[in-house]
Amino acid sequence: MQRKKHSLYYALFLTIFGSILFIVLVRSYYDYDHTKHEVATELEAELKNTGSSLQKSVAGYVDSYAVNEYEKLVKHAMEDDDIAAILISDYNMANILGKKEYISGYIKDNKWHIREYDVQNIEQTKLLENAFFRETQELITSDGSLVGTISIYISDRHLNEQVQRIIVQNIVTSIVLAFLLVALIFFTMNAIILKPLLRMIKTIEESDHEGVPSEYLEEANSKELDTLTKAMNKMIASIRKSRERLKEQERNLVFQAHHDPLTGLPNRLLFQDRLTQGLKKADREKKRLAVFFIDLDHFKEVNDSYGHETGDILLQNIAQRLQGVIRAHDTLARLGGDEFTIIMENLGDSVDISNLAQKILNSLSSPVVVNGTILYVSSSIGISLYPNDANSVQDLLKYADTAMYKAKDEGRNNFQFYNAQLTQLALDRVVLEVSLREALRKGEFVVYFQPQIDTELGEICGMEALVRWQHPEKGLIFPDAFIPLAESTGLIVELDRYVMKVAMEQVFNWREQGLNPGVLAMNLSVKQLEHHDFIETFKRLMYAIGVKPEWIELEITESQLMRKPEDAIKVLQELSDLGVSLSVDDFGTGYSSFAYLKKLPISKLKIDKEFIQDIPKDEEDIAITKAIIVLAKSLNLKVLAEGVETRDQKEFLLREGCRFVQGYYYSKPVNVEQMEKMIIEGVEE
Amino acid sequence: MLLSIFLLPLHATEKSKLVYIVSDIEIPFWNIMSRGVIKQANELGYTVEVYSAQNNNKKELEALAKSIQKGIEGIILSPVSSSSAATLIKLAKKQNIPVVVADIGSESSDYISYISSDNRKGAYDIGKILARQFKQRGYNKSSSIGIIAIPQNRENGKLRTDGFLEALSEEDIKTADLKQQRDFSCQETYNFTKELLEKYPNIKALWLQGSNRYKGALKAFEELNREDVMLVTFDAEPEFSLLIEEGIIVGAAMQQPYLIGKEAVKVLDDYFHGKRIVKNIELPVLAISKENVVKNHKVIQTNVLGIVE
Repeated sequence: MQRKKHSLYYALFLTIFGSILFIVLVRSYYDYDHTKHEVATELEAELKNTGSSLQKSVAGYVDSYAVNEYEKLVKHAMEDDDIAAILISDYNMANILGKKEYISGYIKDNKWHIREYDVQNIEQTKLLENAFFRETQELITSDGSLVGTISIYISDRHLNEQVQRIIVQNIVTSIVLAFLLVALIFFTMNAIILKPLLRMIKTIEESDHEGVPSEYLEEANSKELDTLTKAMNKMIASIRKSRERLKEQERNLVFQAHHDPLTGLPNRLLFQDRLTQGLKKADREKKRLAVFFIDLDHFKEVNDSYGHETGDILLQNIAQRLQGVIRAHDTLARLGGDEFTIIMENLGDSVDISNLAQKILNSLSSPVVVNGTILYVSSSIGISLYPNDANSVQDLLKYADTAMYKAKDEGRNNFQFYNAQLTQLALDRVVLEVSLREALRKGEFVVYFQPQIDTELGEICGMEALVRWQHPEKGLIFPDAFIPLAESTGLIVELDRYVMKVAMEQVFNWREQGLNPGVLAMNLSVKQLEHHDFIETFKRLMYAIGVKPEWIELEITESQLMRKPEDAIKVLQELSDLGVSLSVDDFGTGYSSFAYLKKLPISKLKIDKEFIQDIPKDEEDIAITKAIIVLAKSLNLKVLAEGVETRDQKEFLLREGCRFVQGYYYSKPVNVEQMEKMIIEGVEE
Repeated sequence: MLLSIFLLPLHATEKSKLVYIVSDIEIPFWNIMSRGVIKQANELGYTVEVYSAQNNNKKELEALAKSIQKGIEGIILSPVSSSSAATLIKLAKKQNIPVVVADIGSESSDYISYISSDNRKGAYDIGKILARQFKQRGYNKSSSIGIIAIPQNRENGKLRTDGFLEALSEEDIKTADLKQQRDFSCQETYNFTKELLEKYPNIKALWLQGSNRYKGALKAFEELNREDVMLVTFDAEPEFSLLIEEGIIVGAAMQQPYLIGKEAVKVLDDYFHGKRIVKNIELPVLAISKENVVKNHKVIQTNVLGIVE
């Protein structure tokens, strides 16, 4: 429960009034005590005086048996207001009357009337007992004889009256004084503290919707309040500043949430928002709208070869170029990676669109210099239109993407408008992915082997294991149709492992049969290498089947190898340590660094078939092939040429020092049975 | 009821005891009064005992104590002083003993009755007698009177002076001076008389408020050869009848002590018998001069002098 809060006025009143009352009460008590003591002393002195003066006269009267005389004297003395009783013990009378004592005198009753003393009156006895003070003196005559005693009783009646008067006076004075002081202190406190405080409260209460005072506090008179005011103003200023900072941060956050940090372009979120708005506007104004989906060609290779830093600078550069090409009111966004989108509004006809697309292609085709490296970039552009193709954000983007793939398929560096057929293509991709998974589960993939020939000896020296998909409906499907999709979906890891297992089991079988299949070469995807448990899995598989490491050669493409060469070196070194041979596949198509090439634990280079197929017609290919062979020899590496289809090619290669070949000239990839036959019977030219 | 039965036979069969406490039985006035008390008590069937205080407070108190011890039933008191009377009355009252004060008076009023002489009237009457003599002798206005008074703090003294001066004032006679007695001696009266006559030669008369020291005054007259000065007194001595007849004393205001004593007993008797009591009784003072002395001889003999055959 919340305690009730009291006003400062209330607390102030209580404190001041209480304090003053306390002081005054203490003072009153002191006065009372002092006065009481003083009056009591006075009374005692008076009593002694009265006693002394009465004593002589009374003694004389007692001595002369003038009882009535001393009684009169006593009665007269009783008129003194302070005296409560005077009693004479008369020895002479006691003697005469034959009594133990004879006491006479006067006493004042409760109404302060003088009464004759009566020994037997209980009330009088009580009054005497309650007397404030008693003085008894002996009655001694002039000749020195003791004739009795005189006792004078003093009442505290007078004392109490006086003390009561003092108390009343003090209380009245105290209360008046207390109220005056309270009023004075109130007035002062009010002027100095409470009013300024109330002003402060009022100013603080007049705040904006976030509770921050709208105005700064006014200066106060007193030092402390002024300090408080300054502190409050400082706080208000600080709150305002931090609010500004927060707003700035919020703006930044909003910006960051809607923009790509690398290029500063709108991100997917903002793009979608802009597109939504654009669609509404286009709908209202009955205008057309185009969505461009731009994907850089071979950007992946740039990243792989030169690193992300270079790739990032290239992207920034591209963004700037695109920004320069589009119209002021068009929206350029980066969706991620090397994907850019443009929303083009207020379109006239498709010529405008084509012009822009061509401008983009032109703009991006000129080389970009990054850190001294000249990079050649091209792009593929897909375009979807509203309201022609679709009328939703998702569809427009999806169709532009599909069109972009069409452009890629069309050999890159071109733009394609979306049409309904493209949608079918995209659908096919999805269907294929599902089928891939299904095939893997059902074991529809089969391993084919293509023999590798030592041309010097004319013998099979090994074979490359290649995967084929034995589709139940479509028949045998070649890897080009499903490997890219398997790589992009990550299915390649599982597929590779499957192929490796089947191939190694076959090689083991042949060896068991006493055949010599030579070295088994198998493709290794970089995705496989990146898998943390690959080495362990491969090792277990190898030992489980029973194959020896020296029977195995793993091929990795040049482009994949150079993507993260440092990481590759580490994993490949482990594989090499196992005793497995390693070769670089498709050599010459990528951008190999010789420095890395030297460091890699490889034993073989495989010349890409691209360089072989036009030999001996193409002089350039001949030169490159020769150079690769020389390079391999200088690095003390074996060299194998792929795609050998003619005798000329075989002989050229042999002449140049490349004795190991693979290609249709000897055999296309074949199934197990055919391969087994070739191992037993040998190959024919 | 029981108390009445007990008291009634007591009164009827046995003689009730009374006490007369008197200041000084040696003084003729009190002596005469005591005889009146005894006479009347006997007549009414009471026994009475007389205690003289010898003008002493202590003896007076002792007398009372003795009386209380003896179980007396009533007191007639002629006190040493009106002050001492108050004490005695108070003590008696505590024992439920009724007190009748006979002359002198009391500062207490708790007595059943106070019987006294009409001092003022007596003094007034004697003043008038003196005034007549003044006129008869043809004294002029320069002539005056001297007074030797009993103490003026005594109530009877004051009354006597007041009554006397009133009479003189009516007759336009001046008073030269007033002397108050202290030791009541003959010598004192002699000295005062001498002083007055020497100091005021115009004094033609001297008034003594007491009678017993008249001889001191006469002696002074003789020595100063002023036998012409008239002497008047208050109270009387047995020889006064003769002295008045002879003209040695011009007049005397005579109290009746014998009558007072008798009256006191009568009042007590009335009290015992439940009769209504007069609280203050003033008996007349006889103003006796040469003219009426013979006529009042019998009254003077009994009531004033207590001489009863």
